[in-house]
Amino acid sequence: MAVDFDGMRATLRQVAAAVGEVSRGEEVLRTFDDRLHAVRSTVQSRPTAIAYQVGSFVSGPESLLDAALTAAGYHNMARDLALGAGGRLPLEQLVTTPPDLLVLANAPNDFRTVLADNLRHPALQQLMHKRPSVHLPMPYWMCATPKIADAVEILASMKATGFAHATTPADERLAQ
Amino acid sequence: MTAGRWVAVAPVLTTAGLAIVAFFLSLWIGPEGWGLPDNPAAAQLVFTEIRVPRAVLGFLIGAALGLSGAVLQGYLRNPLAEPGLLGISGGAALGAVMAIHSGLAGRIAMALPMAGLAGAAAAAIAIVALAGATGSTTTLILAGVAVSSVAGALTSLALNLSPNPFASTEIMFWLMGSLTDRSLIHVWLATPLILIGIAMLLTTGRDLEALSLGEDAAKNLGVDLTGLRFKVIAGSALAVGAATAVAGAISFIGLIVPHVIRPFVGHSPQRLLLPCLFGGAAMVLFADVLLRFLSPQGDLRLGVLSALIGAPFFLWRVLASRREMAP
Repeated sequence: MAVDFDGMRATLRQVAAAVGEVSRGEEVLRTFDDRLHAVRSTVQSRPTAIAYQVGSFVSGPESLLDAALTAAGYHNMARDLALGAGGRLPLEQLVTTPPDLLVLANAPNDFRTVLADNLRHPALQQLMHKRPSVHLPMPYWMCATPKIADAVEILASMKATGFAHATTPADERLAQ
Repeated sequence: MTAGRWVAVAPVLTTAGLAIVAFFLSLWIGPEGWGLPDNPAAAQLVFTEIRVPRAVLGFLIGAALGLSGAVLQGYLRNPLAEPGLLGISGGAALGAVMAIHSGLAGRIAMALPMAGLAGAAAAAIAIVALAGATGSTTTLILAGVAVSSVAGALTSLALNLSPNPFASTEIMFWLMGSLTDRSLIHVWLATPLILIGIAMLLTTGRDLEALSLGEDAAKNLGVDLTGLRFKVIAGSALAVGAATAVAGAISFIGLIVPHVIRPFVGHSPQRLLLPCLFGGAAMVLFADVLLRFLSPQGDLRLGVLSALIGAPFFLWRVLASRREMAP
């Protein structure tokens, strides 16, 4: 499974060749690269971010979300925490040393099982009142497709506006 | 204080002391080691929203399991009896899993623990329906084994068929238990039911003492066997059902704690109850403290660790009883 943009490009070219649509595949990739380039040219400072998922999993290095965070100009705090690609970050640790931007990689009610209790936990809700956060829907990042550019753009626009748009879909869903 | 009185009080004081020490250790340890965060705002948030619920639930759940195990072993006069044997924790897990599978959990907040409670109640009713309100204790054990195996099989089936990609982690929670990321909401939900269950179980002491002489002798001593059975089953269903509904099935505590404590209370079923309540609380809390010490990222499950801690005690009891029985 592809865990970075190059892997995604390779997968997409493979699929395009398999269905006989090589030129359309290249076109999709050109659009993707243009969007990525537009974002990259604006990157200056690097605020910290963490992509937090159900079960307290966080996206570490060698994950698509890490690539998206880096491309959008963030420093993925999971890199400093020595977690693997499937590592967990205890809620208590997240609350104690929160990142500049909290990225919810799942909405609290994507999974209404105990596994997602960490996303509905009152401690996380209180943290989200104090810190900017944003929700990236799973289809953007779960599989390696050019949809990841949507995630990069959302993250970059949050940063460009100084987190002014930090009202998040996640907040609204939490209030339900 | 006379020697006899001291023998009765010492186990209670010792186990209560252990439980209190374990409770404060549980408040004091976090994934990053001992103590609280330096930032006062973060410290307050971590303490009230994360540490307190975890310690309170650990205490109550351990107390429910230890006490229920002691009462069941006394009532069924079977050393292998424990809350899991009656199918109550299995029923609670099944209720929760069915709520996930039916989509009910997706529509109603807190539907999951509620369904767990309903599952525990259904299991208790099924056992009474199968074994009868009077009946022999052997029938009750068999009914319990039947209910718990059916509940276990259906739980696995529902999760096998689940579209949820995290189903295996979900199975682990319900079958092995965890206190990770529990909140005050879970505390408010489970505490009243666990306390009512514990109160019911604590009233059985005198009857269990009489029952240790056999059913006929107990009847002659004026024990209401039907009432006793109701208190044992309903009390266990409330206490253990509520515990399982918020933290999954934590095995071994209900089995092992009475065995460890029994020699210290002169093998009296009545004097076993309070020490088992505190002993169960201490064991769950110590296991949970050790868990955060060994596996701060929360990959290790509480039920696994409680079994690992419990097993050496159990082996020690087996060897001790062999020595006692040696000619």
